[in-house]
Amino acid sequence: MMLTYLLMCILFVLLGTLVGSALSMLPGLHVYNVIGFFLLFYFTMGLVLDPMLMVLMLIGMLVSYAFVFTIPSIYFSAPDDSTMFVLMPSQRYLKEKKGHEAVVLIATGALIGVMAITIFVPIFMGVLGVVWDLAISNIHWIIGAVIAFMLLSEFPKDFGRHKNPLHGLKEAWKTILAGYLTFFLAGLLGVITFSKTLIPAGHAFQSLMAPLIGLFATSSIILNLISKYEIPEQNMPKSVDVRPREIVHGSVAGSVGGLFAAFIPAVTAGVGGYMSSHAFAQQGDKSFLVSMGASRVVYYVGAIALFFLPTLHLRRGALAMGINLFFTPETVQQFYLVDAGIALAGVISFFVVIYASKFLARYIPKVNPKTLNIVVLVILIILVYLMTSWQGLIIMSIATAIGLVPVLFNSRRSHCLAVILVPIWLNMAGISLAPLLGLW
Amino acid sequence: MEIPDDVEICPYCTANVKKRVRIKVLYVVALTLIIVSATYAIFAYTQTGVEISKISSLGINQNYNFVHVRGTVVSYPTTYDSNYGVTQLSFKIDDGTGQITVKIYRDLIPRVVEEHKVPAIGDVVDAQGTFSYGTRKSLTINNVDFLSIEKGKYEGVDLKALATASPWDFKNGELIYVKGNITSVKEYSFGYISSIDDSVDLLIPHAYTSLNLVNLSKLGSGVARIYGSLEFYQPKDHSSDYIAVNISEVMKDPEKYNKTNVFVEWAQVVEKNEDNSTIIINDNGTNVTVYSSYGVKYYKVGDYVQIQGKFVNYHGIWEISVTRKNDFITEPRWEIIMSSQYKIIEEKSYGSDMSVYSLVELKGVVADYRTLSYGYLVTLWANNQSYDVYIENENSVKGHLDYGSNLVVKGMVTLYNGEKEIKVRAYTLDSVEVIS
Repeated sequence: MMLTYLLMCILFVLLGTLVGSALSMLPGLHVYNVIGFFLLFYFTMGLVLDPMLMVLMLIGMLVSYAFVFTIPSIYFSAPDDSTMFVLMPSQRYLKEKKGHEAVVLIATGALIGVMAITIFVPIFMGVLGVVWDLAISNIHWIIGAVIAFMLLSEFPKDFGRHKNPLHGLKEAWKTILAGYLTFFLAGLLGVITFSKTLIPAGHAFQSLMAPLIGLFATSSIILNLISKYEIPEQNMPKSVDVRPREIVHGSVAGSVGGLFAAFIPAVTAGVGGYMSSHAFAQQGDKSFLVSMGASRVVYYVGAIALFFLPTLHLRRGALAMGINLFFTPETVQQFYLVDAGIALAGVISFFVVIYASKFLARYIPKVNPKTLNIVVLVILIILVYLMTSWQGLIIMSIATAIGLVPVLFNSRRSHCLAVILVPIWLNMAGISLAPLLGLW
Repeated sequence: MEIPDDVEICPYCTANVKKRVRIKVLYVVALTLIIVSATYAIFAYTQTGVEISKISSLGINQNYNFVHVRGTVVSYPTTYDSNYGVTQLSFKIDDGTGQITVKIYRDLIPRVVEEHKVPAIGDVVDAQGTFSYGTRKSLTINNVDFLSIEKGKYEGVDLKALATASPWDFKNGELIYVKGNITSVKEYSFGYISSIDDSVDLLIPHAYTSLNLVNLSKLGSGVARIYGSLEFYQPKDHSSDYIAVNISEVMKDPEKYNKTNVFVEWAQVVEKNEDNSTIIINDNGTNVTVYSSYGVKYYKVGDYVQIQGKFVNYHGIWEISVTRKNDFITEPRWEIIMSSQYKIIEEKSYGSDMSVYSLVELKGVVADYRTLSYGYLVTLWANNQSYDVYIENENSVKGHLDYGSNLVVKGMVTLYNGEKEIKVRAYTLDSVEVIS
């Protein structure tokens, strides 16, 4: 390999990381949406840029997104499917003047997640190959088990004293039933989106954008708009209130959850991290925030590392699929370059997220929260319109309504993930509901 | 509110919190990733290539492995064209131990073309890619950097010598170049068969025209130097139950070969008698009669033929009888499989010069015409005389051809049975325009 080529690789990782960091600050904009456009652009310019350089730039964008999207999730209350799990604790941190600390905890988890990917995944690549061989023919029931876990782990909540036992029973089951209703509606939306989306054919590769923004981001913003809350002046600590043991515990749990999500189709970082937090008996917000940071990075970035892993070449995640349209990983050298790129992008993204958080923590309290939320909502609407046309706005509105059900009835928002889980589970099991629903 | 980093008192509730983690420590942890990144970068930089494998050693255990092979191209490249353009490019290489098909798909094909890596027979190819084991071994190249080509060395050959060369005068796969005019073009599923100066056939693989490496219009616009490899074309294969014989040996002791199935690889027609369907062939000074129940009208004196038949005595004359299903008389010849290299060394333009192989443009009236299976034979009245115009392909005609039509004919002057005719060659700039 030429030294100049290696330097070009580093340059493209840096470029991808910086572009990805800037774009990830925009609430609601998922990196996969942007990558879709980059790929379209690349296919027209394919003869100009070396495919490996393009791959490294996209990886830089992905890594930075996995880190930096924490910022809009926490400061603008606009989470995606994986950061919605941290919305509640991080909102609490924000109201307790500890928004920056929440960001540092999540970023620390993410940093350790990158270490797990670059150091441990190569060591265990032989084992991962065996695990994948075992898992590949059992995916459908594994996803089914994940769904069962999500539904069965919803428990009746007690909101205090009741007029009579029947009222108590009704109150307790209200949250569960609202959760199940959310799951059913989100699942139905997912089946429709995957089978026959309303999005125009030219934008069809962005078909998941509108449902995901509606379910997770706009519903949170509407909740913020109708509730009274203020962002207090944030503290700027030079240390974080967490013990090393909690960081290690959270990181291990998050990495395992993220790896599980990276392996199993339809299972996203949030679900993976959430399941592993149960498996690792996590307690407290600090460890949970760390684990969510790790889970998210291992899920997104781990998928691409698995794609380049010499004995595995597992194509999981939209980026791996996008890259595979123009590039097939083959050599150990490519794997080394990708891991070098992931580690480099990880370091830069970590510092970007810390300094961006410092900046926002200083200036966000000076902004009226309602104004901020309206601005974010307008940005989301514009993004959805530009990328999916007016049909996308309709889907987003429906998804927002579904996303508000768990918020208003105090059930788990994770049920909204049925939008991905249900259609892929049915697909893996060889069941198609589309003809039944008159979609085909 | 700035909080000092050495505090162990909670800034929010003033509780004593021991072992708070300093953010600066996290910075240091982050920077250790630089070491990880640098280590991987060094690994990538120092990583040497995969060792070359013998094609014969690649088997089921190497299925889907990344392998490295090196060999000589033994088949012309082929492409698969679809509505989306060229979606597959493949060719076969041989390393002396076996053969493997190298395949390149979709988006990589334009890059291979851009980097001049579309090979020709005789080129030495170094290829790395994913090996597939099946009924045929194949190697899929996924990165243009993993394909390198060493072009073969071509030697000049006289076209006339090549046209009458015997099977043993050249070797299959020999790399040569010739100089001549493209006098005819016909399309087949595998490519175009052209004729150079109406004496040697030139196979232009579809792959080269599909990938715009060979432009037929340009190739037909003048005297070209054409590079390619030789192949001895035999329309029919020698059947194993026919003994290859030398005519002089057979005629020394004909009784020994009586009623024997014989195969004569190469002999020249010295006499023809269409009435009794016989030709006399000569091999190294010895003649023998050949009778064909299929007729002999296509053979001319001076042609070289290959014969498979039964050696018999017919009314006291020893002859080879070509009457059964497996018997044949064919005209094998050396033909050129073109590489993507060619050069126009004498550009020609359409004019009025009627010398052989000139490009001519004529305006005239259709005096007579006949429809052939692919094109037309037109008698054109122009300049107060008639011209024979042979249109190879009906697609060269713009407009409706009929008696009395006024035409503008662009074509090449060629010889047919010793007479000059204007040939409108297909897939070139030659054309026939009906103007009224």
